[in-house]
Amino acid sequence: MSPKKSHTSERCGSPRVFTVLLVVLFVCGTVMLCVSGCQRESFEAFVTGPFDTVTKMILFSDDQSEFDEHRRFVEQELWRYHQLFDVYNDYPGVTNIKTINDRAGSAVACSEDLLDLIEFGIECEDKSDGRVNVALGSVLILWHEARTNSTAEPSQAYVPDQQVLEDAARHTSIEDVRIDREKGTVTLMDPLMRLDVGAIAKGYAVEKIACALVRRGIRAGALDAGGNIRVIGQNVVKNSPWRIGIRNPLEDSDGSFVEIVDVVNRSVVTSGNDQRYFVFEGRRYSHIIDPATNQPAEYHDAVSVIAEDSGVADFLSTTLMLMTEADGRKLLVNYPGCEALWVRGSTVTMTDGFKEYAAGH
Amino acid sequence: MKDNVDVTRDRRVFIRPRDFFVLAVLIGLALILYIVTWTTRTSSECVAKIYHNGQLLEVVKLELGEEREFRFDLEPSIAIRQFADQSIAFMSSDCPDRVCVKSGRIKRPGEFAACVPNRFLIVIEGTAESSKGEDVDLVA
Repeated sequence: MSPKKSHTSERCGSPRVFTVLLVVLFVCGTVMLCVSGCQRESFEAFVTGPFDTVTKMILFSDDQSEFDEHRRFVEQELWRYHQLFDVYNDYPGVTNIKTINDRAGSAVACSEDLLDLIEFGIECEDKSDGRVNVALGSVLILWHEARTNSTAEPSQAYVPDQQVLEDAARHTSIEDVRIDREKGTVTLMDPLMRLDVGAIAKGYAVEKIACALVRRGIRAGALDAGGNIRVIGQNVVKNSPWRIGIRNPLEDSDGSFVEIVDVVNRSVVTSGNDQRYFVFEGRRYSHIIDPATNQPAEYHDAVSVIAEDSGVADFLSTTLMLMTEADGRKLLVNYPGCEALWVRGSTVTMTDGFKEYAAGH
Repeated sequence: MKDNVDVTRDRRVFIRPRDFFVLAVLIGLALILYIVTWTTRTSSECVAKIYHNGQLLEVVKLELGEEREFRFDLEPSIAIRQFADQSIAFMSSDCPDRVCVKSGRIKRPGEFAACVPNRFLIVIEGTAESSKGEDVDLVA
């Protein structure tokens, strides 16, 4: 404080109290602004339908109308990717996975987005040693039908015949999926082959949408497509990392968590046997099918993966469901920065890196 | 040395006991305001909002000991049950996979369950003590 200033306050005795008041008000005002004004408001919305699940989005925005614009964008994109990656339904004017399957044996011209996903699928098959195979459709459809029919009519529940499964498995060689980038086409060389991108499509789409949101200027937010989570930045309202609960897959767990992690700019994805399954003769059959046996995977109850890229997290969580923990840990060596947690009954194990995300809980 | 003298003189002139009194009153007011907002916040209850096709159908107060079943004319196969432990769940549906029923009871703020084929959604809102310190943003 300069002597000149103190001289002024000395002279004007009565405004001194007001000066103090003004300073206090100024400080309070600044603090209040930083708490409410600097930080943008949090908005939430749900989209029901795409990828047969509910997607929750949390975005921090200046106002409702700006949020609504982003919400509409996310909704449109989710539906667009859903239609593009759909195995079971046709949409007017859309060439999707079903179109490629229906025209198996001939070259099908597709959009760049669809070519990118199938290329990613081929890469996943290679990296997972054939465990996650987008060309497994002919086997998966048999399990899909069994699951849907058995759930609708539990008294007439059935499992697909092993011989029928093995016959179908003859048409699942990834080499028969040919991409021609120049012509922009995909050809299934085997006319009986069927693509099914269910194991990777959701995470892939969520990653694409999250990146698009960042390009649109979103600095903080979260997308949760049925447990496939991708967060951008941190939770600016709480001024802390995003806190993600890892759901306990056991039936009597009553919604408890096996772990809680704090993440920034990461994806957290859980694959599990506890939600999509059916029961036949007292045994539970999950939706994750092991190409080695053509039967549901039984290594773990659930596997959660933390990775930067949601597509990679989705792929890895499915892959790790299809191998022992020891093999999984070996695979993860090729994926620096990717961490995993395994649940088998009441046993929970995780990589050291996962423990670090969970530290403090 | 000369600087030091200037500073003490400055302080003596600038702040007097009366100013401390004004400051104390202000801080006291702020504290009272903080406590009031804090207590009203934690005592608020959780609600479950039931949506169909994005349309709000029902707001269910999740009170301890309250059990009730909800059915809707527009989708008779759907049954939603509120439990005494302040949770809520889909009990039945005619959808293919019954993922809604299998997702079980939900009770924490931010949790949600849905029957996608029937376009039904239950969302828990509020800042209740039922979160028991496990206050997460999302569940994977």
